[in-house]
Amino acid sequence: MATDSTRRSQLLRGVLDLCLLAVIHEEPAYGYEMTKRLSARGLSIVGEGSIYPLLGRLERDGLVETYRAVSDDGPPRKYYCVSHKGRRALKDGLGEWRSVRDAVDGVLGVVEPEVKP
Amino acid sequence: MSEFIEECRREWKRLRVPDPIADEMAADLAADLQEAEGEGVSPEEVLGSGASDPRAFAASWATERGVVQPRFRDKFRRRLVMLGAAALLAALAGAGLAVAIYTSSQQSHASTVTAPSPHATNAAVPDFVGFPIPLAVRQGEAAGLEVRIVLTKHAGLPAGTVLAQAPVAGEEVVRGSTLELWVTECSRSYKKPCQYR
Repeated sequence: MATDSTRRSQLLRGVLDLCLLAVIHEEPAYGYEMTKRLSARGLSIVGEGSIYPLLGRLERDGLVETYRAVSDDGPPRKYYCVSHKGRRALKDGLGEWRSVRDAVDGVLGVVEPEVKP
Repeated sequence: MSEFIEECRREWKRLRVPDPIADEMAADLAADLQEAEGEGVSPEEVLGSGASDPRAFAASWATERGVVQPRFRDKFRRRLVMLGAAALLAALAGAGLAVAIYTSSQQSHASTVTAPSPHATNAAVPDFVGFPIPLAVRQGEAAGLEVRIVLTKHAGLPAGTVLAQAPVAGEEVVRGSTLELWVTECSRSYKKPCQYR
C-alpha cells in the first residue's frame, strides 16, 4: 500500500500537465506565476517534481506557445499560453479526468470506514 | 540561489545545451527565484523536489525540452536499454521455463492490444544551425514542424543566421511539434513575424 505522500505524487503526476494547461488557459503566465496560481487553489508542488521540465515538454510538443513580455515589476518574462493543439489536448484530457474521477468516486465515494483509535 | 543556477548552467554545459537556450533558461529561472525570494517563498515551493538536486533538475528540464545534444541522450538511452535487458534476464532466470513461456505468450498477446504512445515519434529534427533563416523556416515547415523564431544579438554573424535550435538536431519529435530557432537579427527582406522582442 502506497504511503500518503507517494500516492499524492502518483495521482498528481498524471494530471499536472492538465493543471498547467488549465491555469494558462485562463490567462497566460510565466513559470512562477503558474506555481502561485496552483498554490492558491491548494495544489502545492512542495515535495513534487518541478513544473519546469513539464513546461519544457508542453513547449516541445507544441501544446503551449510562448512570448516574452515585461512583467509588473522586474525583467521581461517568458509567458506561456495554450496553443490550438493544447486546447484540444486540454479538452480531451479533461474528459478523461472527469470520467476517471466519476468512476473512482462511484467506488470510493460511498465508503466511510470506521477506524477505532 | 545563484549557486543553484550556476550548478544548472554547469549541467547544461556538460549536456551541450546550446548557449542561447541555456542563457534563456537560466534567466527565466533566476527571475522566478528572485521574485519568489522577494515574496518570502522558498525555492522548494517553486522548484518542488528539484530544489535539492540542481543537476538532476537541469538535466530533466533540458531533456524534456529536447535541447540535450544527441550524443548524451543516446548514451542515456543505451544505459536504460542495458539496465532493462539486465533486469529482464534476471527475471527470466528467476522464473521457471513454464512461467517464461506463459509470460512470452502474454507479452505477444499484449503487444497486439497496446495503444500507441502519445509521445510516438515520427521524424528526426534536421540541423539548422548556420542556415539563413528563410531556408531554415522552409525546410523546418517542410519537415512538418511549427517554426518559431527567437531574435538574439550576436556579433560577427550575418543577420538572419540560425545560432541555435530547440529541439536540437537529431531529436525525434511528433509531426506538428514546435521548432524554435535562435536567430541573429532578422534581415529586412524577411517577412516572417518574430515571436520575441
